[in-house]
Amino acid sequence: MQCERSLRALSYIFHGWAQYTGKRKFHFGKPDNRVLPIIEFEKLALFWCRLWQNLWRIDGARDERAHATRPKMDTQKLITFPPPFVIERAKHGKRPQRYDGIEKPVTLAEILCGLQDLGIRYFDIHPFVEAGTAYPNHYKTEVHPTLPPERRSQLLEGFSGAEVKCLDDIDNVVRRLGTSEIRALGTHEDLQETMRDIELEFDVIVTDLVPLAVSRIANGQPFLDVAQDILEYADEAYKKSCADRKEDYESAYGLFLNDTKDALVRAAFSRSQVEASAIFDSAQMNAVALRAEQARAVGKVLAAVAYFRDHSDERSQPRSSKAREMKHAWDEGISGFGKHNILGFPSELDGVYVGSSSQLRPAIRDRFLEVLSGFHR
Amino acid sequence: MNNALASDYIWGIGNEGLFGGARQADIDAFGTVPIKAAIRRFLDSQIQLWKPDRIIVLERKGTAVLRALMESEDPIRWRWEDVVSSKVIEQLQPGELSGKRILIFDDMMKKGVHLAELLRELRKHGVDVASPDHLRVAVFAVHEESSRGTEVEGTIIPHAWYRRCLNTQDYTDLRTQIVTMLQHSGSLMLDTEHLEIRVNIVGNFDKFVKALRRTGRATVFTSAGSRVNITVLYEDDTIHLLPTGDFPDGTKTDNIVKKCRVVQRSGSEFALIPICFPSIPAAQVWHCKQEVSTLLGRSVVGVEATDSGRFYGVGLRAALRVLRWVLRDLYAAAPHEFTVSLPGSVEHGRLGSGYHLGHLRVMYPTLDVGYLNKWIARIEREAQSEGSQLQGKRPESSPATPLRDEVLYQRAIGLLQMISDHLDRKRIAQFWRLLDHSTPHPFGLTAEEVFQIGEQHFRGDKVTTSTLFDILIDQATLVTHVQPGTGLGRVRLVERTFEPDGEIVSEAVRRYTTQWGLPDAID
Repeated sequence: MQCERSLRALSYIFHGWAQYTGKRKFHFGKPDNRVLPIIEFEKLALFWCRLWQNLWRIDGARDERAHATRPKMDTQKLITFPPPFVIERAKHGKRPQRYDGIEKPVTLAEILCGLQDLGIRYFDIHPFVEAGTAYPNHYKTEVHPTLPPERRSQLLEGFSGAEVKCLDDIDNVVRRLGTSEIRALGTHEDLQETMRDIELEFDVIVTDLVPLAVSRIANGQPFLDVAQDILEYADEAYKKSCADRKEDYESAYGLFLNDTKDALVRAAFSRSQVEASAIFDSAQMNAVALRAEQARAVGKVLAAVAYFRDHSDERSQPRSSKAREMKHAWDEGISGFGKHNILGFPSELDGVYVGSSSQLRPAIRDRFLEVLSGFHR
Repeated sequence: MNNALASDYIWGIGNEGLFGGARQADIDAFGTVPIKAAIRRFLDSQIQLWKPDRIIVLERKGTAVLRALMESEDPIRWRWEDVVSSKVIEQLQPGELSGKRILIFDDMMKKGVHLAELLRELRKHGVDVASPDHLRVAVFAVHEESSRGTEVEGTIIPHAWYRRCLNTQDYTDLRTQIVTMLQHSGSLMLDTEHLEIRVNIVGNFDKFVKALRRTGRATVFTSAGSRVNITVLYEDDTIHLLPTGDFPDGTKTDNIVKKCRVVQRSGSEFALIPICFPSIPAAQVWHCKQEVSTLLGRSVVGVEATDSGRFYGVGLRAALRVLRWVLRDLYAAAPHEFTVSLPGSVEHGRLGSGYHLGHLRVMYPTLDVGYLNKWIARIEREAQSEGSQLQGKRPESSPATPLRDEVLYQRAIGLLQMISDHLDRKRIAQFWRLLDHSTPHPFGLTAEEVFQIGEQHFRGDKVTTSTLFDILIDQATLVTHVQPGTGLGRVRLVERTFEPDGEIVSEAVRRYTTQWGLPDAID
């Protein structure tokens, strides 16, 4: 029941957002077509879970804990259920999940797809499909509305008066948030958790990826896969620490704080999120942002060098889109090296290899190993 | 049907018994025979029928059940020398079990994971586990998931049972009955890994408790079996430092549990159970003093000793230190409120005079029990002497922890939820890192980690958290393991860890947390 209600509450908020016809913040590169990509949808769910957890803590019908009897108080005035998900980090950052200790954890995206297959449609999920297999967790999976506006209120059947009031108040604000604001609000809650998210990205780079890359480079083996992994994790660390997020977070935070009317929701929101400056303006975050920027530059150069090691024919004239992307990564990476005073690399790709072979010049190879061994948490 | 055959068929045999496939083929209806009598009847019949040379008990509840039966008013007639714990198989000499008639006993089985592990271990020790002439498995109650026997490397090992094909609800109910029986028999502390000595409180109980608080921190609570329990915790202060020379080089003696449990056995008789498990470096021979070597024997101090054997041996040595602290405090602050009853020889104990520590041989196969008795007697004598010199001297008693039983029990549930949640989060993180959800076993939190949870979440001092540990262990909701950990720096430590006891408890805790959320942090 608790899971079912949570999904209905989330569906109510999502449909409010999807069916809103007013203006909201534009997200570059993503048209506002009233559809949420799965990542942004899960961020919305994360934000809701945190908020609802705090509403439950502040005003939940929780006396059963002590007395093991049915609640005697008037539950119409209370929050009657907590969110049923474990909010834990997945590959990059947190995701709402369920875990039974036996099987692998199941993400919200997988739960919703599974329910959809059973004909239970709180949302219209369009999973990314490849070779006949659906991948609910793929970033190209989309969440569409499934109910007409006039039926949306039916989603709250059986909810307490207090719950309906809170959900309406949350809905009133969430519907005016752009996708980038939803993403920022879901990703960040406070400095400590954001720092931990970034630390974990670095942790994988340092513990798992760098030793692998070092061994491959030292032995003259291909290293494109590991270089791309380093770039992926460095990029995530960079995005999480980047001040660009501050603007989205700040506007979303301000809108929520100014436009929520219910005292309970405001109190829960204050417990769930801290203001932008407390996350993005700290010395700690600035230092980690710098490190993330450096790591990203290394990742880009490494990925480009690994790619053109295996595709020497495209070094001077990139023809495929992947080659152009990698050439661009090289240019950005080398520019980043200059900015962060990482010296000893040529400005042109040709200077990296021995002639047209796939072999790295010994001096460049040693310099790469040196830079990689300088990675630390 | 003659008598022998009749007794054969009272208890079903796995997948090929007379009652194969039946939901329940017991001769008594569910719940009509008291649980203790039913288990006694089952085990006794197995012993009579099978006439084993050795009984191997599955830790920890299986051992506690056996001890409850062996120490009851109508005891099972069996010698502790012929009981082996499932935890010590790897410490036995090769060939020590081969050719013997072995009876494996456990109270309950769900998936049979622990039994399968044990059978694999026995196979390594040359036991033909598939031979019905050498090995018999007797499990009192079996869940429907493993009622057809336990598969070990392709062979189905059948088991005798009293109840089987139990669904989860019936299985859980029966588990509760067994735990309650144990609590009434003397708590889950009826194990075979802790030494204990008995005291009689002949004077004022409050003065006795105050004496325990002389240098320790004590909490008094009532267990579910209405027994008085006291948890006395010793901090890492100068009085309670463990001498590093007692243990293998590199042993971690701080931020571990150093405590004494005082459990009411009957009336005014209490058991003092000192508990201390330092974390030891893995794969390192213990070059110990001769007296320790004599006490613990080759399974702990020899070159072939396993990490687990060494860990428990170090724990027993450390517990003797804790015993000295507790007795010294009692003799210093309340010498007239109690009398000590020292353990006697196994032979005397068997004849009904006093008690003995023969059960420790189950966990410490090469322990010299007589030597241990002498060691304890020496500690008692010295503590009495030291205590008399300390009478009236500081330090002052630590203040009592003012928490009622109701609050303690409520917080114990909260702590269990927090431990379970921490472990689940670790498993989830591990999955996303490795994309592999096979959880290693054991997989628990160290005492230090649990103390941190207690401090951060409940603003609890260590003694309160330690008391919550004891409540959970007595309820059989928390189980301990010996786990190789990462340790500090490059030294790999073997540590004691804690986790919710099995799938049934873990699942119940998860459901409770999902429904009611994690406990609120205490401001």
